[in-house]
Amino acid sequence: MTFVQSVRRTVAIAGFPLSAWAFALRIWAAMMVALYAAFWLQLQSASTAAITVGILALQTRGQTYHKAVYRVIATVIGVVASFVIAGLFPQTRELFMVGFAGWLGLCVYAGGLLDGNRAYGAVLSGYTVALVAVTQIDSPQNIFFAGVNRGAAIVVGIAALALVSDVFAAPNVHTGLSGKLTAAHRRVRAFALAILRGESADPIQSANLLREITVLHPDITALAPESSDGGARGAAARSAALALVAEVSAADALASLPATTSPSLREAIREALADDLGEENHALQLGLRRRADVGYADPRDALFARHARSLLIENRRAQDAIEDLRAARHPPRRIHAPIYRSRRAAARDGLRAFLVVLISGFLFSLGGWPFASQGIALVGVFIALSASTPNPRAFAAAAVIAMPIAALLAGVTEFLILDGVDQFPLLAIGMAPSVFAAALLFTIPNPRLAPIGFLLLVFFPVMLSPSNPQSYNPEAYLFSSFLAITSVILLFILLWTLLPTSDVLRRRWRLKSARAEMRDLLAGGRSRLPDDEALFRDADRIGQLAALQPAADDERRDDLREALDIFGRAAGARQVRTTLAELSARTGGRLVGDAYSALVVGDPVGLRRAAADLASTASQLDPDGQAAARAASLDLIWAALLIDASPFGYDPPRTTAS
Amino acid sequence: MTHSFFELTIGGVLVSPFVIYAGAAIVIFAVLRPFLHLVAFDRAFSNPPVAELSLYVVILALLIVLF
Repeated sequence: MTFVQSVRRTVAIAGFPLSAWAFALRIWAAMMVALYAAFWLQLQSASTAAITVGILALQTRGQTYHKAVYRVIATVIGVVASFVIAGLFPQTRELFMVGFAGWLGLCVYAGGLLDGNRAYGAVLSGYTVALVAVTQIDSPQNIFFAGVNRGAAIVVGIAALALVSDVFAAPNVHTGLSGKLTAAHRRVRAFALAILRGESADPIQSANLLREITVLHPDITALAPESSDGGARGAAARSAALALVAEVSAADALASLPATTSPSLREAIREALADDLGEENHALQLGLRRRADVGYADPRDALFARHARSLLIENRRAQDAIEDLRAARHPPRRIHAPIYRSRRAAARDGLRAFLVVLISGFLFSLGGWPFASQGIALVGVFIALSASTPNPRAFAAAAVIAMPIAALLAGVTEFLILDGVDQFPLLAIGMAPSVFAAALLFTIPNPRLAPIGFLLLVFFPVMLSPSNPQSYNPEAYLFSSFLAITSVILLFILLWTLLPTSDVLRRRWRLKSARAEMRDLLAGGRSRLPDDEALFRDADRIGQLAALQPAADDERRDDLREALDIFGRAAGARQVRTTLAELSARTGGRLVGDAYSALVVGDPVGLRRAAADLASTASQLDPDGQAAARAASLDLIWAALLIDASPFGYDPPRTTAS
Repeated sequence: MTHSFFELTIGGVLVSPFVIYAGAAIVIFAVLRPFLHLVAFDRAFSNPPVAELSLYVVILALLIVLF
């Protein structure tokens, strides 16, 4: 087995591994099956079936099925929206364009609040109107048939790709995902071990770790449609991701304490973490709990014991969840992994999409070309697709490169290779070189080349537009190529000039929202999310910050340091509020008033005083109440320490200041 | 013996019987998924995707034959 695996790893044809060739073969086969079925069913837009295969050309079955589900749902929504918009503004082109631009802007805004294939589904609902209604602007009576044809072709494309992926054993998401989670777990453990050795926490390293975990969210959501075990695997993967984020948070908390705290304990925890001991680990956790409960003489020791115990618990939880993922077992608890999305960025993207459609409509109408509506539709499609990617400008740049290449490949295929033939096998052979080249390019792990490969897979069938019988009309080819290239260039220019959203701006918005949420949290406005889910959402925001292009290294480091500082303080504040709520439930609301007041104003002295009061009055309570009071007292001291240690100061809630 | 197929008309548009059967088979398959997970269906086959596809085809064929 090992020998076979090593051979598999080394075999490459023309520089590409066998897995890349298998992917290219699957995509070409699926595209041809889809085209053949669409021709056989005499669908008018048979090329849409091939384009669907290109769009769904993802490496794993789960991702493909997940995207396919959203493609079907979004197409239905988009076709219904086409009827509504065309029905609301009959015979008034200008209002129709405004209606379409408004709908597209709304869908782009909704897409900005989602991620992965969900974001794609949202923008597809918008640009389906472009493909179904805008291209039929002069003959609205055909919108219904265009919508039905498009829907049928999409279903044919999805069925073909699903069949080929299943028969040719396309890779599963869960195999790769468990490998990525294991690698992330290994790095998180190494990070924690370094902190236990007394090293300081580098903000970029912490942020990159959080990014490495949260960036797996789209893969996690793609697990459910993959197989009947997908639901259990998805829940296990979410548990693993949340536990890993909590482990990074616990390690960061330990880094906030002096490196000289509890040297003997550090050694024991380091050994437990490195060797992943079972029973001994459990005994160590019990010891840490006792130490946290009685360690009033030195609160730092007690705090160290408390966070070290959290670290060990989350480390074990992450390990168990990864094993559950592999074994397709449901984890003990069902949890969600909410993501952070900037509403302001989404609104700006939506407004830009609205304006781009209106401006391009105006410019194309000035040209007076016969197929101007196709140009507007293409700009609508591209602006919507660009908004669903992490970097719209990079998408536009890749589109500017990919579109002329796709037009050239389509021209060579149609007029030099096929040159008038009408047999399907010859069409399949003629399309093979371009589809294989694009699919192989897509598999290259290069962030600049891979998107070009993906766009070529989509644009090539768009430009070739295979039909039965093929028209072989050079004039139509030249005109559609000209319009498509003009559209991507127009999109590129408009993205750089119209409401450009720089990384500096995105960074500022994310920091601003983190500060505002921190203020709300201290003021008592807790989110409805459980603590660990809220922590994951905060981690997602830091992951996005880490992904933004730095203006200067120092600035980026400062931003990440502040974001991580807020991340730690928010985790501390949530913990305090949870333990205070538990204590309040036991004491009927007594003993916690001062603590809440000190928390709202962020007063470290008041927090320490409240902690001391709680510790002294704990003896009046029953044993469970005493434990709750001790935990709350310790958490209050922790909150005071975090506020004291923060170099960014405390920004009190505006509601109390005014 | 001739077999009459169930036909659906929405707003004057005739929907092909096969589309209805295919859709119904997807719904039944989705409902069956928790049960398949419970009986460890995926672990009983060397190529689970093909096994699941075959099960879908069986459900579709049964619907066509029975209704």
